[in-house]
Amino acid sequence: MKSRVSEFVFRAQSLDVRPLAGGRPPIVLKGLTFDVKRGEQIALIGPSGAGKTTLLATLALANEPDAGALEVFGVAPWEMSSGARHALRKRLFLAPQAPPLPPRQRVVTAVLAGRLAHWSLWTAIRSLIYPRAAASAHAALVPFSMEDKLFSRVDRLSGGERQRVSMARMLVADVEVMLVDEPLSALDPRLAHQTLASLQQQAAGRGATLMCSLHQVELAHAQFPRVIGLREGAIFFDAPRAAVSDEMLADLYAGATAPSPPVAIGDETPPSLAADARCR
Amino acid sequence: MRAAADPVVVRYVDPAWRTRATWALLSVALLWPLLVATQFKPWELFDENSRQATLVFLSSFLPPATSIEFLVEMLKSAWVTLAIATAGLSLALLFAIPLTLVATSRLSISRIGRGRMNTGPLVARQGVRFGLAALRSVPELVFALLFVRVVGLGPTAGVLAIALSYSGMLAKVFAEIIESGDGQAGDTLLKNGSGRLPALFYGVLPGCSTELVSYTVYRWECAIRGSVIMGMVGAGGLGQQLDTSMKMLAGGEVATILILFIALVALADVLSGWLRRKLA
Repeated sequence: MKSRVSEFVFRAQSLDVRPLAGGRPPIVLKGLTFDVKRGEQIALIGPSGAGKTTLLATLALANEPDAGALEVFGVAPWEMSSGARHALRKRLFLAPQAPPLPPRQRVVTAVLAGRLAHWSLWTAIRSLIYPRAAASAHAALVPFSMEDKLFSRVDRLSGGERQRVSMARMLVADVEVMLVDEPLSALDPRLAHQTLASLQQQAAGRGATLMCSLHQVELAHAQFPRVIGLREGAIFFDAPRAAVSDEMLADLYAGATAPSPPVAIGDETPPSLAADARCR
Repeated sequence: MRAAADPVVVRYVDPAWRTRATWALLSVALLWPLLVATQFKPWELFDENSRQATLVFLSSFLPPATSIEFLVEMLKSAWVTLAIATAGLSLALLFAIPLTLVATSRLSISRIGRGRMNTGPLVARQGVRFGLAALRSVPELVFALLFVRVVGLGPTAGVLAIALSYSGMLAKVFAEIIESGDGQAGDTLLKNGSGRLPALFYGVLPGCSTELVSYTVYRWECAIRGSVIMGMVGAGGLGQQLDTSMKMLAGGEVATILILFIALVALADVLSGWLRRKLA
């Protein structure tokens, strides 16, 4: 079945997903149904806690759905053996929001780690002794203007620089699907714009599918041909850019159940507690 | 805003407080019978008889034996002790490293996305963990007594005893160091399709190499001490010399040997510090 080329990279049918962290958290994603075609570029937006990260993890085969059907590259990964599923992961790449790069590692090694899925153990060890593919690491850093940090240590980098290293790692990984979780969260507006443009250009140049969760709604709306709005674990809208109106965007965030209401610093008595105390 | 006009004192109760207090009281209640059972009466150390015996014993230590002949012989024995410890620990590492890789859950691929391992690997891991417990539950002294019977008097028995019991300890603690470290870096590589060992080298080891090295050097220090004790049952080295000197009631010689021990342990300390600085 491997040779069959599916038009779709993902097909999800009423997916329910519970995130793995913690004991038995409530279901976060409820009844998601959508398809993603090869080469699409999709922005994933929605209020905090809507389930964007969980959705990306699910698509990266890093979180098993509770219910529903998920097809990746035309096959059902959670019905396969662990080894076959792991082979599928080589064709996907998940770049987490806080890039977990070992602080004592050098950028060149951190970027080349993206090749590990394709390297033999011997090649991996040899490259640890002397980075053989340093040129490809350099080439992957160029689109993000990070090439001068090739031999710097990760702990000397800022948060935004680490995010860009993580994306350079994704470029050397040479994958068919790029799943990126809030890549711009630590970048200033100008750099965010540039980085997103590079990312989209690189994905398109490789014919790779790009799914990107973003908090910059305007940027998502302006740059991505398709936008999925996620709210409280369900798809609020899933539409081409032209069909996404300002009202839809406003509704997506309107009256959202924010994690906690902002409490003024120095206000020692949160309103709910004060009310509670008065009742006694 | 009545709360502002009519200030109410709100008491923030730490929800963890009751559990903590309970556990603290329980541990005291458990400790008391233990002290009774071990007849823990430290004041007996300081009564007239004990003080006299201590004084006589300690005064026989002075002056330490310094004849060139004796010193040369002791240095040779110290060299044998170092060799026993180093050879034993190297052999132990040879067993411990592969066992660690099987025992640690960090490098499990089947757990990704599910949070639980497949049954096969889980049973293998538990089996190895049980084997490690069996290996380290037998003190090295007992192994040494056994091997002295098998291979005869001499350092070989000491080397084998250290190799066996220390491989159990090393593998257990190595696995725990790897599991208690921040696992994100290695997990991310696994989620992107990397194999276990490449993920170990690129994601896991960079985060915990100093702890692993410092524990290994500490174990080397323990092996030096252990080989001294095993020397007393005929496994060669400084311990055998110490045993002889003690039996001949030659306090000066005992003092010299003890000073040599302190020097060896200090050496291990310096080595550990230097390695940690190098790796930081």
